[in-house]
Amino acid sequence: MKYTVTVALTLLISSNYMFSQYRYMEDMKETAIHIGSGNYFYHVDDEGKVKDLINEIIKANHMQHEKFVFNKGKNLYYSGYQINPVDDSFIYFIYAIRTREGYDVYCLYSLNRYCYFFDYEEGKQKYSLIFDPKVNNQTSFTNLPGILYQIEEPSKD
Amino acid sequence: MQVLNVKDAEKDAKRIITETISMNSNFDEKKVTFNKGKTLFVNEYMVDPLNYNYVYVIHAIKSNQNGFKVINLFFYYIENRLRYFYEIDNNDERVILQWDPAFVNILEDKE
Repeated sequence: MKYTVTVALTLLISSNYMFSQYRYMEDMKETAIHIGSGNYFYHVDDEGKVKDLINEIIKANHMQHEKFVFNKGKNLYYSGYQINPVDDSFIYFIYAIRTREGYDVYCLYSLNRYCYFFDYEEGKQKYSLIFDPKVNNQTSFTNLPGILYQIEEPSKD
Repeated sequence: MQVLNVKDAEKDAKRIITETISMNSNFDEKKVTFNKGKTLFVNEYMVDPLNYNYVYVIHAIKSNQNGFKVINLFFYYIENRLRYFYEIDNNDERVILQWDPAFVNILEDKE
């Protein structure tokens, strides 16, 4: 009886821990900056470290994922999402953006609703990073590229 | 900013924000609201009066980090367009931090 209760409690606690929000990883080499519960970001020096970090996060959270697409030399080095497989009202979102010195890797746990994150530039072109639940519906970790922002040409009239 | 006492953290956050604002004369420090005891200690937006294409944003958000109570301060100068920052838990509610110029325009029209 005692054993059954212990096992049930362990399963309950671990399932909550794993699937409610991102797991807090004390063993991570980098230091996370927390923004409220479940959201945090890391600052790392180069693209290689971003790659290692994202792989580590996905692995630690036991997430299924497609092959990661890292945008070498770009301002938005990586972005991807996953709808929480056990609670589709929430999404996990990761993006790595180049800053003045190194990269910030944001790990967000948000409501499954339209999220307009930000605009960014790649060379002369402008992109928007948007999560749209009407289009983005994967429950495994999926790459989410930015959308090219169409700047309307001024009318010649 | 890592401190053991939340009140000290709020005091320090207030000082840093006030100092930052006073160095940037565009922002009116009297308009900043400090929410004592709340997870979202400061949440302020101001469209750049010299260039409406940009907006100043200040966030002060409490969290726990390695056993310490901390307040993270964020100062942004970003394009004046819809922007989804992040969500935070404030007691039993989930607060969405986003900037939507259309929403602010509606509020101003009402006033």
